[in-house]
Amino acid sequence: MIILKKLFLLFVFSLISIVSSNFAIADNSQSSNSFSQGVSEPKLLTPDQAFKYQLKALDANTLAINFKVAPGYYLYRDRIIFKIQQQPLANIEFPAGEFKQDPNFGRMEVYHHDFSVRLNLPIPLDQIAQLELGYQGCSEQGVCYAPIKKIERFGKSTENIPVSLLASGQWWLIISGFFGLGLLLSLTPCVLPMIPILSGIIIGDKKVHHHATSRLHAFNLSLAYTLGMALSYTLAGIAAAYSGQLISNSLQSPLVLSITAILLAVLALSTFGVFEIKLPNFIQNKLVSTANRFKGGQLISVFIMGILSALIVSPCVAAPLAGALIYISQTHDVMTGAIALFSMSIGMGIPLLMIGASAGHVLPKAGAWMELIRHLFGLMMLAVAILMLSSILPSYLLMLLWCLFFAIPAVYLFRLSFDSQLGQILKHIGIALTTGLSIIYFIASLSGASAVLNPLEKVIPLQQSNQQGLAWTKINSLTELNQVIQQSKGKPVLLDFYADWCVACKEMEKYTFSEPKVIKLMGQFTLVKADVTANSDEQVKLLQHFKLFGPPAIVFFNANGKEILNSRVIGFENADIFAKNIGKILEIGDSECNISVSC
Amino acid sequence: MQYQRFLLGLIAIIFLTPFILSSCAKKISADALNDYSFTSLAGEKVSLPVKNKYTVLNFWATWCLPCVEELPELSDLNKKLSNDQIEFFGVSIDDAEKTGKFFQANEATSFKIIYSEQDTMALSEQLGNDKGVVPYTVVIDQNGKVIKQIFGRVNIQELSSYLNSLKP
Repeated sequence: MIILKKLFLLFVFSLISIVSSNFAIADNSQSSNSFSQGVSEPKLLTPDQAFKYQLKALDANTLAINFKVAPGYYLYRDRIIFKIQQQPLANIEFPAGEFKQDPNFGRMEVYHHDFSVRLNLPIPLDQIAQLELGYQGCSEQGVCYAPIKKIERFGKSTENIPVSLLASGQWWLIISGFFGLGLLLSLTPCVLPMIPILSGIIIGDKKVHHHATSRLHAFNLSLAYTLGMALSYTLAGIAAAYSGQLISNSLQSPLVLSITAILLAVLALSTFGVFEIKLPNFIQNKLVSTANRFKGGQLISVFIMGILSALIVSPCVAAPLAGALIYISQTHDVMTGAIALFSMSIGMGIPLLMIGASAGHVLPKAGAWMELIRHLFGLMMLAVAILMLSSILPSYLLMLLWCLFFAIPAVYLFRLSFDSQLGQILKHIGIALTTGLSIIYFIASLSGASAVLNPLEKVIPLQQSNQQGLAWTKINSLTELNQVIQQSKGKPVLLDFYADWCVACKEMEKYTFSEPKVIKLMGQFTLVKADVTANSDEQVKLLQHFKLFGPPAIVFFNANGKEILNSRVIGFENADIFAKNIGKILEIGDSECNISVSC
Repeated sequence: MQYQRFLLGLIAIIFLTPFILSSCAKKISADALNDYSFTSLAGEKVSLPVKNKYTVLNFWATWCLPCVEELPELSDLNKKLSNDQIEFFGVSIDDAEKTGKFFQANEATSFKIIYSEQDTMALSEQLGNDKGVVPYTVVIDQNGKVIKQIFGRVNIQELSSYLNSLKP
C-alpha cells in the first residue's frame, strides 16, 4: 500500500508541475514586453474565453442567446449574424448598446457587457437542424479577433459530447462523462494490446502465486500499470495540445518500434523459461540489496511499463481524446483538460483493473496448469511484439515471423505429456492446428501475401475486395493537397488521414469503406488519402495545418475547395453512421465557408 | 523477474527523456510561407519570405480598427527606417475586392499590401498567432525563423529601435 501511496504522490506531483509550468508560461507572456524575449503579447484571452454564449429556448418559435463578454472586450452589434439553412435571420431583437465614435469607421454600436439577443424564428425550433452564429469583437488593448463562426446543432448528436461536457465547466459532469467515454473506448482496439502485456506481468510474478496477499498484489500491479497509462495519456495529451502533435506519432519510428518489440519478445521468451536475464554478479548483488531496501521498485517499473504501453503500443486518437486536446489548445485550460484526460484513461483502464482484481481468484495455484497459462500469455505478448513490427517489416518477413510464432506452441505441445486421454486428444488437436497455421503462414511468406488475416490470398483468391472500387489520390504535402482540390473543382473532396500503425484506420477501411452504400456515397467525392506513417516534416505540417493530432481523421471540402465546418470524422465510425454523416455533408456542403474568412 | 523489471524501468526512462525534452521549447519556423502564393494590390505575384533579408509581416483586416489606425504609422516607420535589409508587407486577411475598396478611400502605404486566395488567418496562426488576433506582426530572419512576434498594436518606437539594431 505504501508503494501505491508513492505512486499517487508521484502523480499528484506531476499534476502540480504541469499546473505550475502553465503559470510560468502565463508569467512569461506578461513580462515579455521587453524586446529581448522576441514576443510582445499583452495578456490576451482566447476568443472563446473572451466571448461566450448560451442558447435558451423561450418558446417554440423564440430563442434567446445570452452573450457573456469578458471585461475589457467588446462585440460589434452589426457583426452579430444568425443563419438558418444559409438564410440570414432578419427578425432579431438586440438590446441597446454603447456607441463608439471612430474617425475611420464612423459611429459603431458595441457591447462591452453581457447581453441577450432574442431570435424570432421563421420556422418552429424543432424543425431546425442547425443554427449558424457569427460574431466579431475586439479587446480594448488594441487587438481584434477574426470573425468567429459557430454552428449549433439541435437534436441528437453524439459527436459533440466531449466538447459540451468540457464547456459545462462542472467537475462531476466532466469526470463522470469522460470516465464513461473511456469505458466505451476500452472496448475498442485501443486497449486490447495492453491486456496480454499486463496479464503477462501479473502471471509472470511469483508473488502472485505464493504469497498470502496475492490477490491484493495482483491488483496493485494492475493499478500501477493503469496509473502509468493514465499519467502518460494525460501528459502526452497536454504536450500535444501545446505542440500540436502527439508524441506517440513520432514514437512510431522503426527504431522505437523495433526496440519495444524486442523488449516484449525478451519478456515473453523469459516467461517460457528459455533463458533468465542474468546480469554480472556485482550488479546483481547491488540490485538485490536495492530491491530489498526499496520494495517499490517492482511497482514503479510496472508503472513505467504502463506509461510506455500507452505511448508506443497503443496510440489512439479517438473522438473524446481529440475533443479534450482541442479544448486545451483553444482555451489553455490545462487543469480541466488534464482532469478530463485522466478520467478518460482510468475509464479505459477498467478492464485492466478487472484483470488485476480477478487474477487472484481465477488463476490456479502453482502447478502444471499455471505453467500452461503463463506460457499462453507469454505467447500473446510475443504476438503483440510481432503486431508492432507489422508496419515496418516487409510482408514476407512478417509472414515468416507468424510462421515461427505458430511453430512455438506446436513444438511446446509436442514435448508436453498428459496423463488423461482427453489431455492427449486436446494435445493432438492443438499440434495439428498450430502446425497447420505455421505451414499456412510459410506458404503466405513464399507466395507474397500481404494480409495477415487472409494469408492465402495469393493461392486461393477469395472474393475481390470491394475497396478496389474506390480510387484514392495519395498526397504528401499541403501543396499537393491544394493542387488536388483545385483540380477537382465542382466536386467535393474527402481527405482521409491514414497511418499503418493506426488500428482504427484499418478498421475503417475494412468495415466501413467496404460497404456498398458507403462506396456509393463516397463515389461522389474526390477521394484523397494522406498517409502519415512516415511522420515526415511535410506530413506533420499537413496535420498541423488542420489542427489534427493524428490519424484517423477525415476532413471534407465543398465543391469550392473550402473546408465544410463541423463535418470532420475523428476516430472509427461504422458504416451506418458514416453513411448518414456523409449523406448530410453532401446535402449541406455547397454554401458553407471557411472558419476565418468572412463571407 | 525483479531484475528484468528494473532493467525495463531503466530502459524506459532512457527512452522517454529525449521525447519529454524535445516536446518543450520549439522555435517557430516560417516555412509555412512556402505553401502560400500572394498577389500585391498592383497585381504582381509575391513570394515570401524575401531571400537574404529580414521580412516584416503585418497581418491586418479592413474591418479591424486598431489595424487600420496602425497602417499609417507602420508606413511612416518603413519610410524612415535606416536599415535597408528589411522589407515590410501588409498581409490582408480580406479578399482582393474588400482590400482594393479600402484603399480607394484610404491613403496607400509605403510598403506592399498583399493578399492571398488561401486562408491568410490560418497562415498567421502557423506563424505563432495562437490566439487568432489582428493586428499581428512578425519579423522573420534570413534563415526563415520567426524572431519576433507582436500581438495587437505595435509600439512604433520599440519596433523601430529593434529593427535598426538588427545586423545586416
